[in-house]
Amino acid sequence: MAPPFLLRLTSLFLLTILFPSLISAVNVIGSIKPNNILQSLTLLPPSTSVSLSAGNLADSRTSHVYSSGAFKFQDVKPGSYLLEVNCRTHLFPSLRVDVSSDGLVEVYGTFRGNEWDNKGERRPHPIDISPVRGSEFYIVREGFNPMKLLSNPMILIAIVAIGGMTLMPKMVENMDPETRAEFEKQQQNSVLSGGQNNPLQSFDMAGYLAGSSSKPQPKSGNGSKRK
Amino acid sequence: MWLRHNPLHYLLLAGSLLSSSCRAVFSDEAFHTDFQVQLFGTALDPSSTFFHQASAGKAGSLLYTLSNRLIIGAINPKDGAQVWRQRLGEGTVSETNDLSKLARLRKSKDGRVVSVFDKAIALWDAATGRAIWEYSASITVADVVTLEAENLLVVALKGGEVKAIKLESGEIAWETLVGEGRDVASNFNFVDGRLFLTLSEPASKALKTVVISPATGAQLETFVDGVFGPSDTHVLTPQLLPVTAFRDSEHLKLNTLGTKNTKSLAVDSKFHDYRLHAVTKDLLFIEYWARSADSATSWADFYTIKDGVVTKKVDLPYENGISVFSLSDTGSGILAARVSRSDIRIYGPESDAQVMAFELPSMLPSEPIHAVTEVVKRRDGAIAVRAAVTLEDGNMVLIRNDQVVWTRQESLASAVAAEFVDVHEVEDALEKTLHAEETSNLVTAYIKRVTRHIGELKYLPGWIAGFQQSIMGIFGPVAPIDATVAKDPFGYRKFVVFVTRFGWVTAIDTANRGAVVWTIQLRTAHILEKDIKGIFHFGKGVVVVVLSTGDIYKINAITGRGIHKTAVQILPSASVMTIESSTTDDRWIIAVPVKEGVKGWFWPNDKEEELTKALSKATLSRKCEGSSGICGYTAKPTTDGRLILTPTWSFRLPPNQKIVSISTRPAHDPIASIGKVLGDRSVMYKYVNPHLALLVAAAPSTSSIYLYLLDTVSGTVLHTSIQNDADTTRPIVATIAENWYVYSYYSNSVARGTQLVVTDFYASSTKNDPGHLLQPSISSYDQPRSASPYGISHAFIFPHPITSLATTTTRQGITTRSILLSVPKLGSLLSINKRVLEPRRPVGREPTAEEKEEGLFKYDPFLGVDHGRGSLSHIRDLVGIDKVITTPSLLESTSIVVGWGIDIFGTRTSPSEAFDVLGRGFNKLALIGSVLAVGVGTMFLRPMVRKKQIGQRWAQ
Repeated sequence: MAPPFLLRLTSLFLLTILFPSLISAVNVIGSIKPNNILQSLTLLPPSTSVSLSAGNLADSRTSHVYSSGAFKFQDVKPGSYLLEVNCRTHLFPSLRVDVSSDGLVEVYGTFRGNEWDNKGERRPHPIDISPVRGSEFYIVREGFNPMKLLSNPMILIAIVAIGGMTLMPKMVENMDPETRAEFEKQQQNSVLSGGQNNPLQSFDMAGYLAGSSSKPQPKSGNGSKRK
Repeated sequence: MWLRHNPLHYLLLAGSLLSSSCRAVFSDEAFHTDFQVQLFGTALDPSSTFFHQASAGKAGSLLYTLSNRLIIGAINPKDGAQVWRQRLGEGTVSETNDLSKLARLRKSKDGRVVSVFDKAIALWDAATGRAIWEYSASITVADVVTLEAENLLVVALKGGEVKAIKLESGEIAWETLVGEGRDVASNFNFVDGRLFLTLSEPASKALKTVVISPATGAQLETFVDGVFGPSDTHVLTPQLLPVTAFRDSEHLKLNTLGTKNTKSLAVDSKFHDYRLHAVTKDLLFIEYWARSADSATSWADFYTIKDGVVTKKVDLPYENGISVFSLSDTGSGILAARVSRSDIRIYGPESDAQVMAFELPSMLPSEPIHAVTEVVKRRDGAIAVRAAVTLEDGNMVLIRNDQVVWTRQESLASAVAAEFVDVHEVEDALEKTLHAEETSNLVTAYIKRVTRHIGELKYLPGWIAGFQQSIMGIFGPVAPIDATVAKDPFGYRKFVVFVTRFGWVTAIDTANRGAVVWTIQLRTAHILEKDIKGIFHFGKGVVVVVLSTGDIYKINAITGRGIHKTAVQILPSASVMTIESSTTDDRWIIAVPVKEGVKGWFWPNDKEEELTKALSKATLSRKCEGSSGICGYTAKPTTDGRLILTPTWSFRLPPNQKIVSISTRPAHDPIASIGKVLGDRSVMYKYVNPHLALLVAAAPSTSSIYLYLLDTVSGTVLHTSIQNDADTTRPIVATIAENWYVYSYYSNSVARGTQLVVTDFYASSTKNDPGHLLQPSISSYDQPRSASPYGISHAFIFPHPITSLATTTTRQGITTRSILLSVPKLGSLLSINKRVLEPRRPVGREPTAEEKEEGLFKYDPFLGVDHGRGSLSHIRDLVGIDKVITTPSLLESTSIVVGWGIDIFGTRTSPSEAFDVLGRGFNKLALIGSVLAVGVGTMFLRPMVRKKQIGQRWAQ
């Protein structure tokens, strides 16, 4: 009885000397839980992994996400770690994992771009983590959309202007003669219609459309009025 | 010298262009404008490549493999398509490591495969490639075996620890320590429900085997197999054989487990190598070979194992030539396949006469290294074979009977160097031709033009086809036309020439989804990264490959023909670079030896006067001898292709710092605008210097990294910056272009994580001060101390480690740059617009109206990953892209990007949107429709308006 017992004792002793990490080993475990953003775990790419980054590379760990959604970091040394899910298709929150020397694992939310001491709310240890957002990879090209065109303010202004142009003569016709005379007088004095001859204004659009090759009309002060 | 044009001209141009919106991939362009060559790498070992049923009970098997790049995965044997891939480890292995001892892939139970790499063991779902569980051991794993009845995976660690892991849960069922931790475990054998572990005792030089109970892990029995001679080593044996083996220089000794029976076979291991195969416990198959070029031989023997005695049964013919063997048992009897470059022959275990021979229609591109086969004997006696053969050039082919079904270009996963070659530059040197026509007299010009037009007729069929396509394209998407016959008006078509570790040079076509255009063998068996001095594009479609042995290969990159091979006596440690003549098309390769006082070399060794002229304006620089740093030289050519080097300057680092990287501005890096126009119409002038080099040094003892910006002509240190709290063990990468550099490192400061730092350099800290920039001639030598550039920086936190940084380049440099980041944890290639990485972004406040006009927005330290805006590789899973190269296209808006490493990914990107080309979103139908509508409307309106006008006239 004695020799095997001694052998086992020595082997245990050797194990302790050779692998001290086994003694203070802490496993950090958790799993990815589906939610309404990630309907099923099968939608995650198989290459999805979770990394636990420490101050130096040697203490950092990476775990694949298993088919059950679980992940596991073996033999994590005491220290403060950043836990991230490396996934292209879904965005997960970053977590802060503190492992104390007595094997206690504390998990907090963390805010990237802030001081490391700026901790979020505490979370339970077997970590449950769910995506907060899905990734949008593509920009959809906007096709022709009449409603969108109509809602453009420039187009709206143009529509109002055209409407005014067509309605104005009718409104003028309906005015009583006195006001009408006054209005026409005002029109003549206004900056828009008077003064210099705008070459664009004298362009005979109607004539062009009618295909007439006639010379431009002799200018009679105001291009828009023809008497 | 740097300025030839009026700078104001450029300022106006640059200010008027370019919106700040940066967009990545349109949904209709994804998978059309980009390509990915998904690669595994070259199969490492025949025992880690096998046909296996993907899920239990289902017919049809997949081909599983483990590669030299530590990728495991499944390939569909029907068409060679990838089913899934996973990467073992983090790519931390050096290329010289003997991976076949560290990594292995084995079949397991119920449609699962188990992988081992160093300390990590993982069980994978064979159909989907998802991990079932992972286990990381404390030391290197020696061997694993799946015990189907017990539902256990038993793992032996090098130190003699044995652990049994439950296949379902990954929990430890039992563990035991064999041999007090002093022995080295090497090999499991599992025969008739008995589990044997063979260990070597370094102290007593003996080989011993321990029998372990599969259920409890109790050590039942120990016996010594044989005494090691001083030169003996243990040989791994197939797990289902009751045999352990060891070798000395002249013998292979086979010991039947549990007995004293040892069979000694005479093999001269100086010349011959061998491999043991088995598919049942009573038949051993040994193949022997010698691969040296002048005495290649191969043969194989069948041995039976009966009652613990190994006896030779059949010896298959000895041949002077390379062939590889594979043993297969598909239920219809054990058959051995012998694969050579020209045929597959099938042998039975009963006689040395071949059962069947399949002659391949053409020779394989190179000799086979190893093969896995499935040989099926049908009821009517007909024999069918399929063989996955790994070739010496690193590729894998699948042969079914006498046909090569598919070829996977796996050698590209082992590329060590890559370079772009312009195809359009060769195809149409139109500009030059037209110029020649202009200057010659009328008759010759006419003849020249007519002959050119006749020459161009070859594009006519392609053009007609393309025209038809573009008409059809109006009505809907069409199949892309064959890129090899169509002209390439936008310069999208480039070849990328790769040099692989296997000593081959291969070119792929970016316009044809990365298809291999040609491949050519260099007369060198293996090339590691350190063996290659460089691959240089010499213009006119010529690439030059320089090896550290001094061999120079000149290759026509369009046809893939070797033009010239020559050798110069380059010292292996010399630095090799190219120099261009400023007046002619000539280029030379310059080698600067590390030893002081030794002459350099140049090649081709002619046109010395031109070279003298070119060298008079340049300073060569290289890493210093002895200490770390850079040294600068001036060079003068003499006869016989030698260079006299005169040291001019040196920049040496303190002893605690070591060089991480040296980057210089890209060869093609035009600066379109020498200044930046601010919102108040004043100008910040850029620090423009073509001789910038960024030296990144790390000091592990103080956890800091140092960045030195040097002028490579004068050796002046222009700018220094220091980052403390840096992790020097993680990747530190940098890129430099125009007047800025960007680098990334891991910071352990309060803002922990990967940081991306950008520094812009301006001529002066004050506005409207061009410094010395507008002087008619500037020299690096007469720069006063006060002329050192004014640098401004911003640092950003990036969520993932970055392994490679690059910059887009365009033809004129007008388009905004994008920084390209390779992020292996996401498997993505991301791009960030330089306007985001802008050090002038206001901190802690909203931008003023003037700053908004300039395109600045509020600084946010956290730079998240925005796939929609920033991912060039969109949903694709890129594996191992660790080098990114870019080249301009003929369109100013577009830069061509190719990432390589394991996969090859290519795309084109427009950082400022495609402003000079119509995209796929351009609706030709709507355009034609509206033109027609206006025309029809005019036809209708014409008579109406005429009638009205006439009416008006009459009314007057």
